[in-house]
Amino acid sequence: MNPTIPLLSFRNLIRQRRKNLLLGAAIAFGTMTLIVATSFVAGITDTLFNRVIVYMTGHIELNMSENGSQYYSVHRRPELMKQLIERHITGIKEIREGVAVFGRGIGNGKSDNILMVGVPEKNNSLFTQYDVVNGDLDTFNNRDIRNPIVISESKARYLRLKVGDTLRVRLRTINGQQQSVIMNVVAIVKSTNMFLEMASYARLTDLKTMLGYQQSESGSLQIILENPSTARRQADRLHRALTSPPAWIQGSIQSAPVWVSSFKSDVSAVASLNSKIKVVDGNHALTKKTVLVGRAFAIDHGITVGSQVTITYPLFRSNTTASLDVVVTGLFEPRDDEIPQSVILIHPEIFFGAYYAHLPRLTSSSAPIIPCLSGLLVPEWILQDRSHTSEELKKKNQDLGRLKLKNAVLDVRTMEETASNVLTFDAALRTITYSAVALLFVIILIGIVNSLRMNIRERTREIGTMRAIGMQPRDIVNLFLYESLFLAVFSTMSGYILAIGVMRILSLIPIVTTTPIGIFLVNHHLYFLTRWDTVIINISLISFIVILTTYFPARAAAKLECVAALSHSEG
Amino acid sequence: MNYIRRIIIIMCVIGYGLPTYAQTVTELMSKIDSAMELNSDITARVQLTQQRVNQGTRVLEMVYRRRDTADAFLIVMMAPEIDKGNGYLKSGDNFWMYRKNTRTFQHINRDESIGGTDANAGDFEQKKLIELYKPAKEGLDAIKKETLGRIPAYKFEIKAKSSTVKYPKKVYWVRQDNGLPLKEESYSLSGTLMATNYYLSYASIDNHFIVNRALFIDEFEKGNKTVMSLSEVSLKPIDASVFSKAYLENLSK
Repeated sequence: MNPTIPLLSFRNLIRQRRKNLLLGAAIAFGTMTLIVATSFVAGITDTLFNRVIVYMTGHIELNMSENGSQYYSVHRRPELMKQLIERHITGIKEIREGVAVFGRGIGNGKSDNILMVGVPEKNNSLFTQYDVVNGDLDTFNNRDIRNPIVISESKARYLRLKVGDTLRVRLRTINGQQQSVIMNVVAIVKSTNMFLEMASYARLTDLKTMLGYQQSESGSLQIILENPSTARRQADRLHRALTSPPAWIQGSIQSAPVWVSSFKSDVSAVASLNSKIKVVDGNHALTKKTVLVGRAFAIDHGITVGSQVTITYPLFRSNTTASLDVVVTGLFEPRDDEIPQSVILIHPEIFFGAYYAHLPRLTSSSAPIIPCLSGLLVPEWILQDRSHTSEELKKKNQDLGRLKLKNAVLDVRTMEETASNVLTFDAALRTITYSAVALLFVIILIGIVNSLRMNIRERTREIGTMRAIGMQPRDIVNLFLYESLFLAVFSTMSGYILAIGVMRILSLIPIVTTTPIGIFLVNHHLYFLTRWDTVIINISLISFIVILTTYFPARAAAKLECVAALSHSEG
Repeated sequence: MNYIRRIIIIMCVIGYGLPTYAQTVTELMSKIDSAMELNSDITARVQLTQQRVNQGTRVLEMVYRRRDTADAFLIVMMAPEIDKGNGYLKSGDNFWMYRKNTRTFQHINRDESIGGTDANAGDFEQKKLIELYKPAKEGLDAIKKETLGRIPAYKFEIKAKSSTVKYPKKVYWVRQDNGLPLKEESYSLSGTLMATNYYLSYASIDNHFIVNRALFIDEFEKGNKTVMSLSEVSLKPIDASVFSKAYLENLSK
């Protein structure tokens, strides 16, 4: 390549200083606008995903409710559920336990509603989102301090609390019991985000105890993904893998092994069950008190209708046993040989009352496979259909409450449903921002394109001169392309530097608001997230447009005959 | 809407005024359960005077209708003016809140908070004391004789049979002469006194004793209390159509 061409281009650029400065300023302004806008939107998304939703619901949430409760989620065997999650979800950053409660807090002469969120000890990365105003966050992990709580500055001010004070809280346990606790304020913090100011933090282990969870149990399971945009697709995949088999209790009556399960009580299931077994003694109708024992087993063990029998079974995570006392209401004979005589069938109301209160041990043989009873026995949990909007989720929950199911119900949710209001607000803000920027950018671009075209037209006679002294058309085109490239590079770099300065200035302006916009702010300031890949794409895009705009008029001018170019007049 | 719960509680205490010769806590609990059973319908006008810390005093008036045999009740707000026409309807397992302005019924699930308060629909399920609680102590010292004001009373403590009962522990004072409750203390899981109810006076209607004045004290949030008084009490049968959505809707037309 002839090095003279780039040198000539650079000289031309400097020679037409005023014109190129104005043109460069326009390109720089366009670049700046684009970078500021994309950084602003990226900042909003980052705040939303990594400061709001991630602490609110996670990107995917598994909610297990019992007794139709919408208030609490209780995973009795979270480790098994986590195994399923890890098997079916990719790019997991973290699986968190979501344990939180709304209660009534009494401070020093003032009371207010309070949201207490459980935070794991020694892994409280959440606190990096806060500045400590008073107290010491290390004391949060100090086991010598009973029920420590970290509260926000605004809540502390309202409740007139300071570090060392006690906060009395009234709350409801997972079983619906009234609970009152005394919390010790160990730190007062100021959050970087308005959303986080709503919460106060207790140790996860303490909060579980207060709410009546076993330490091995969990609230909702919140999955944090490396790539949140895959949440819905991955949730759908996980949902397909979460169907529960029938719930069984492997126990014994008078040391004789029995398999206890619960039958579905809807009309069609009851009709199907009646075609598989025949009640030969006792109450034939299946009611809330039904306890059916195989006739042969009953005869062998001296059990009759009306007998009270005790079913003993080993407990999950324990070496002890639990017992379930039931009154036999009927004896059955299987119509199908697949059904063993040692199977006991109980109404869900009785079965699940014991099942969740004293979870049975799972063994490799704890779930007998009886194909003919497939679909007729109640599973450990009912898997709810996936909902895709907040409205669907709300309706599903309302319907669930009316059903008054006794067994647990599992729902797989993503932030798209649980935080759809926030996401809709974010999407609207993004659309408005991008639309405004696109409009501004197009106006600027038209100006730039027009200036470049005019520039080449004005220099047609110069092209004729260069052609007359022997310059080839290709070199002419290259000369203009180099000029545009230099102009684009210098201008876009200036635009980038300008954007950094503008973002720095804008992020210094404090914005105090109580509107929902506040959740997009960090420390009451605008937050810009400048990503290198986006900056490179923006700069490349503008440079490409500038060069492309130059190419066609330069090529047309280079093709002119010397005489025609020299005689070209702008007049 | 804690006041609804208060109405239910107080309206449950409808006694027959029989002399009490109870010797055990279980017998006293059965006596309270008997007092809560109402075979006839009841209609009353209820006034609640709520006093809340930093919020002043608020007076609410409503008409209350109840039919135990159908596990149904209806509350229609009469005052303040802003709430007039709003209502609550329970029929069996279903519980709805009606808003006159929007003419809409909102179904309330069992554990759903009502109006953002600590009351939920599950609180209104009719369950006998004897099913939920058992005596905290057995034997001679399980019942203490005390004088409440000038009234001789039996004092006894009961504890919840399961972990799903709202208050794990309660202490009752009942009249020695007829077993009617005079005072009730409710404790949280950690043993903190959360609420005290005083049944201040009873009226005798058709051989039934009905509480016509009661005081509810929130012991957790000191300063919050509610005085409830009943008037225009009637035990006459209520038309079945009253316990329906249509009736409530028609009232606001």
